[in-house]
Amino acid sequence: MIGTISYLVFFATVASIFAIATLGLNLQWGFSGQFNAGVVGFMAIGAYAYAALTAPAQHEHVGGFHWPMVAAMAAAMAATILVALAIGVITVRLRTDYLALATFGIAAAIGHLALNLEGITGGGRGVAGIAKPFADLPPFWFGLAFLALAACVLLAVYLLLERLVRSPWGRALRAVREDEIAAAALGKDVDRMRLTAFVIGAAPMGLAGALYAAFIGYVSPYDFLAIMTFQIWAMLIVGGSGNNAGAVLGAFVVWALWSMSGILVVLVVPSKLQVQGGAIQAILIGVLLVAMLIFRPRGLMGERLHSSPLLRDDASTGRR
Amino acid sequence: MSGPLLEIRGLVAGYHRDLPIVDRASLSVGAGEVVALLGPNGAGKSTLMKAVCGLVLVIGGSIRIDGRELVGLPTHAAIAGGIGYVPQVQNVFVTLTVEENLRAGGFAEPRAVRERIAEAYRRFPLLADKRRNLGGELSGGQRQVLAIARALMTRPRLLLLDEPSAGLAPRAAQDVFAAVHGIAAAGVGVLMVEQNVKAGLGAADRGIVLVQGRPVLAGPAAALGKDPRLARAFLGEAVDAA
Amino acid sequence: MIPQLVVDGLLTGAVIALGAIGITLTLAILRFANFGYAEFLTVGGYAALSAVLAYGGTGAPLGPFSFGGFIAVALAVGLLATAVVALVSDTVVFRPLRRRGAGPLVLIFASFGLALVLRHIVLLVYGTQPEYYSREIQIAVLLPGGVRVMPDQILVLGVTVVALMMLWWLLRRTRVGLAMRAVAENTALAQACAIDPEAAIRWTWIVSGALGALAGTLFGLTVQLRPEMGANLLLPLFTAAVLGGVGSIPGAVIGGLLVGVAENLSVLVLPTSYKATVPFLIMLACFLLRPKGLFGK
Repeated sequence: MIGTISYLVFFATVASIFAIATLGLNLQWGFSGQFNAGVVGFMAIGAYAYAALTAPAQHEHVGGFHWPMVAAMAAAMAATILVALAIGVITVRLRTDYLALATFGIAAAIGHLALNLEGITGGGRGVAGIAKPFADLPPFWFGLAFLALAACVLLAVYLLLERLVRSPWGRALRAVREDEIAAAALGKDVDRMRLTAFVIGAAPMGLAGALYAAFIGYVSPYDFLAIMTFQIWAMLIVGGSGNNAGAVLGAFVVWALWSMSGILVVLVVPSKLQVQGGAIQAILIGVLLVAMLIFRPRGLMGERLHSSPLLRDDASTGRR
Repeated sequence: MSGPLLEIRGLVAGYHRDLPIVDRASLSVGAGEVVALLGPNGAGKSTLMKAVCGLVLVIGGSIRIDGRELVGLPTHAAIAGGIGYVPQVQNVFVTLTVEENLRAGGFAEPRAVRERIAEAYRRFPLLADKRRNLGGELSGGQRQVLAIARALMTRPRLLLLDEPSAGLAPRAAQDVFAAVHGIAAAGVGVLMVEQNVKAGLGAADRGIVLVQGRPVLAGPAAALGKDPRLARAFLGEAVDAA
Repeated sequence: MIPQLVVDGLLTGAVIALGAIGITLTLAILRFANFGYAEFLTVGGYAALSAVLAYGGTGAPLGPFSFGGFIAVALAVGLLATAVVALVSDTVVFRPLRRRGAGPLVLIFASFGLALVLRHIVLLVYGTQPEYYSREIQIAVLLPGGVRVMPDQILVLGVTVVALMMLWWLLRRTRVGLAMRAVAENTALAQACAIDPEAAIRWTWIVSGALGALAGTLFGLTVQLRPEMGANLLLPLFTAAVLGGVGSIPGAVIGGLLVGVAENLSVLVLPTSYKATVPFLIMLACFLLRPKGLFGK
């Protein structure tokens, strides 16, 4: 019984952390039509920044700063924002698929650097001993406490973002997404709005990464693989982009599907093929999501077809 | 030959289902006839032409060539049925040579291509001189000639010209209209959008004035040119349908 | 030192160039960034491997090379299999999305999904260990300047040149090539010439799939085959295509060679741990300084 509850608590915690990142992606994509193909990179920045600031000194890599957790989380978000700003400034005026390439590239570059810059990141061995909140509690209570923390952070991010999209700025942003040329004609500085949305949207991703690091107490490059970008995108698409509640719902649904498929594989696949189990999981999810795109692109809670940014022909906004 | 070559009835067309630009238009073009399609900016003349080719959404109505319905056909199939279309802008391939442009025009009839290219060079000697030049290297007038020659490669029964004289010096424009004359004389039906009313009517047998997506005035070119209602139609004033 | 690095870079660059052509064709004719493209390299390389394994090897080594005559058959199998996979992907995934009016970004996401599926199918069937077509030893050839190359590597360059010539012939001298170029430049005008864009699109998948398979097999021949090989090459491929200018095949070739050489030369100025980030840095520089690339329109 305790085992099941522990598992559910763990599940909900991870789903909440993912949901935070998905909310950030929703601002970038759902509300301002920018394709961030390197979500995992931004999460990795947050995670490693938090790790670097809170892990004890080790002779293999830097450490020993022992920042307080909240400050370290803030710093993690700041680091993510800076990188997002740099990338955004370079790509804001380019065709939208170049943004996808650039963000993909930065995530790949970050992955390489994490693996190779041993002095800073601990290389393949990663960074251990990261400060965890509630570290003194026994495991079961730690799980519950952290879930409460993650849920509160999720709620806070959700409320802040909802406030933001309902503000005049948020409405203008949506106008830009729907018809960029008209918005520009009305005097909105389209590029600056997109850049701002991109940068603000990156912050929750860094925060999610930092929370993850605080939750596990350990980070390595293998925790931040390209497939995570795909998972978060899937969460947004399934939930319905352009809708913050949908983003959260999608995170829980997709994480549930992923976890269940993992369990299914463990149960069904003979033990000698278990190593391949992860591959089967990835194939199932990949097929599911492509099918979703074809048959129900607006997801569970997304907007109607004709105004969904998923089905908007990019050429019609003039940004080619 | 029973019935007109091109028959459009009650056409409703546009770029979005909720926003028709052509609004219940009906018109016809006979074989060997040159019809000028006139009207103020935004009246839907180009859109109507694109609808015939299947390049814009047809929301309602019918378009027939020799009795065959074109609505619902993909563009390449509609064109293969005997249409030559010269768009208003971007009407030649700038990264292909003149000869390749012609080969593209004759794509649907590969066995006849060589012969047709020779024919095109005879008819338009300037193209022969430039055969290895890229479309992008030609002047405006030369491009127009190439665009028309390209459209003629399949010996279409119906030729659609969208502002053939646009941007051309008067001399070049005259050459274009003379070519149009010769084409019609060979039995091809020509529907020609013209912004320049005088030139358009001068080169045509008949004229149709389109206002806000619908024909409001039509008649033989010479008579139409002198019709006082013509100016009123252009100025947006009400005109009794002709 | 430098000449060796340059030559090694050209050899890597040849493989990247072939793949970059596939990407630039997809960008020009299908008008979206196909993030699943690099998996065609993986699929092609492994399909050729299957043929080799079925045959029990590549045959007795020919001359100074590491492989026997059967490699040609294996390559043909790889090309065919990948062309089929490419066509099936279009029919099952991209064409339905095109019909529903999906914009390029939806197509990009779908291509991510496709990449995931293809890569993991290869992983499922072959496992994670590196594979090789042949384990025969080769003797390096010594060139002027103290440069050593393997005979296989020289062959890669030769095959690349032949492939480029065949591609040139296809695009410039055949009807199919004309249709592809016309659709790439102006789809509506091509349609007005009674060219069916879907046919041009099918040919684009076949040609780009075949180029990918060739690149993957050549890479597998001179380096190794791993299920992640495509994913690792995706960024260099895109960088080369962007650097050369979208839609330009000569650009893709030059871009590929430049990326290969730059990556290799970078060890002179950067620590080796940064080597893999060089393509990304080139891409950023390209976006900053000349977004349309060297030969882009």
